[in-house]
Amino acid sequence: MRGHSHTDMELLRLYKESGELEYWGELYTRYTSLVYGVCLKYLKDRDEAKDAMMQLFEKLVATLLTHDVENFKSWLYVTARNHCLMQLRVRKGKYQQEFSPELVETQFLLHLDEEPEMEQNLSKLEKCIDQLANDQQQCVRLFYLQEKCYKEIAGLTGFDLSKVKSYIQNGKRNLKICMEQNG
Amino acid sequence: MDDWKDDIEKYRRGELTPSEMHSLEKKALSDPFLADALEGADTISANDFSEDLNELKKSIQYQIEQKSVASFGQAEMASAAAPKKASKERAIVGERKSTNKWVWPLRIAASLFVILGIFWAANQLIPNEEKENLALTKEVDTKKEMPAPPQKEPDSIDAVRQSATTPSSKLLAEKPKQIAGSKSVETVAKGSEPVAAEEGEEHTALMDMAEEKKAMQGVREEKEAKVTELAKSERAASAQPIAPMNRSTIEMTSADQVSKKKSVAAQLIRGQVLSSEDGQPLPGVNVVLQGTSEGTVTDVNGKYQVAVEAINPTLVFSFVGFQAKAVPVGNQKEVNINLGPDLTQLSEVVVTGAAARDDSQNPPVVRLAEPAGGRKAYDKYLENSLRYPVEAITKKIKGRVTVKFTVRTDGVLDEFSVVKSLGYGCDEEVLRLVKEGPSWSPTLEDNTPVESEVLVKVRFDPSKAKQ
Repeated sequence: MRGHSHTDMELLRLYKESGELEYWGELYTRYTSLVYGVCLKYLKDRDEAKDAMMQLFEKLVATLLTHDVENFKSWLYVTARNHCLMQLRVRKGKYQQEFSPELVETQFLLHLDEEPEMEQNLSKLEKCIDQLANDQQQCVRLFYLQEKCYKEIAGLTGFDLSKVKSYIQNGKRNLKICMEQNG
Repeated sequence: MDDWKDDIEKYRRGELTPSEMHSLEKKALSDPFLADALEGADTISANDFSEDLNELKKSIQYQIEQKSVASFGQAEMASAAAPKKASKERAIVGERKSTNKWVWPLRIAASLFVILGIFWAANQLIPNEEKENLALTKEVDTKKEMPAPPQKEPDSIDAVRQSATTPSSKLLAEKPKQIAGSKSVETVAKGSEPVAAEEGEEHTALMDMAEEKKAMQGVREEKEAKVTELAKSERAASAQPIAPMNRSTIEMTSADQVSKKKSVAAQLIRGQVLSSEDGQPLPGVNVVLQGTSEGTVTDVNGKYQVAVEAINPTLVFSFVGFQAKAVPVGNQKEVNINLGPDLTQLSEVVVTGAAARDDSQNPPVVRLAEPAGGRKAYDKYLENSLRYPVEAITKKIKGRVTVKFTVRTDGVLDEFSVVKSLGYGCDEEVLRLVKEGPSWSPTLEDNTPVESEVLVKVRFDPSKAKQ
């Protein structure tokens, strides 16, 4: 924690106990760039994203007092995303589904945890990496084994930055499938 | 390990070293939050992103300062009213040993609701209506929690009034009468009205206030108005004598007319439905003429338009997860309302839009699929017939099951699916309830049966399970 005197959970607890908005404000501000990024991604409009961001701030003032949040970051992500999706849904006129933070949260947590273990077995992946398509293989190697960032990889390979990103994402997914099949 | 929180900005601005960039990118691959955020940030220029972040941080700071001020104000206001009310409630709770466990959670929820509302009011400069709404919502909860003997009521209403910024004159002397009135309304409403939920009539009162402030003088009269309303729609002779006591509003007079002659001048009513929680338009809200199944649903902007043939129609607005409201229209052409989330419902039934419908100018008159005996009865059925699965009780499983099914044009139920599962036998139980329950009549569009989907949600809460 850089320069923060409290962890997220401490701030959350302090806010719940005191109801002081200062705490909630500090906590939320920490996530400004993340939440704003998410809002931008879904709403694709700066003003709407800013509005959504502030609406969330307001909305959660009350929600957090009643709702027990175990993993704030995951919860915030799901809540923010749902908020945006709700708005999109309203735009499209699709409104059947109701938003229910409790349930989504747990699903999301499972999803979060399953990923990292794969990276501990990099050596085991070698075989699978060899099976990847050339472009993917090249990018995955540069990214995972040589720890280059996207920009460097783009420079080295001559691929477009967005291509690099998708090669890595797809490559990673393919690796995972390969790993699961071969045990 | 949380360092990256502020680093999206730096990443975008190219202020990170390649290895820092790499670790952020790697993190994003297993962290959808970060991945989404990066993707979103990518859609605008680095400068815009930084600019917006600064602006947002300032706004948040500003909100905090504003609200701290606002909440102090609210706290003072509330503290004037709260102790009185609380002690009253405790007294009543003591008297009524069988009081359910909802009281406290509801009270807390209601207060939160009020506080949230005040924030809104302070920030959005929403005129007084909003505050009244919220204050009254509190009253509604209070009243629902404890259907106290009439002589208890004036106090709780009084207390709430103190917190409400009602600009009305309080005619305290009239209160006992009013209470008597609202009591009889409840009996009437429960008797046969499927659409007006118990809270419905109370809400009507508060909507009256929000929407027809000019015509109305205060809570008391709205109650009377509502009494007349129901008296009309229910044609219950017992409620009639109450009406003439306080005939000072348009509603009164027209209601009286209705009892004499039933005219059929079509009246076009339009308006918008917003969520009182966040001010967002609510699409898909059922707007139904009370006492009938005729009506429409709001569009994506929460707007609706409905033609009714009645002199003094009452529109009932209902929406999943929100408290239904019945609003007497009077001679208004436009009825805009706010719906607040429903904190009390155990189960709910949602009928969603019928099959392919074109979005042409004239939406058809829709009569939504309905279970035999009406929605209210169906809710009762669900609650009463629910057999809490043993495993779910022992494991203290709590949550909501949503099942979806199709009502065919011939009323046959089909295509059952579990939309939201809870497991431990809960899903099966809800399916059983629906399959073994009352039959359904199909949705009618301009009197032609069409297929429609119905969602039935049942909340499981071990603390409320019937043994």
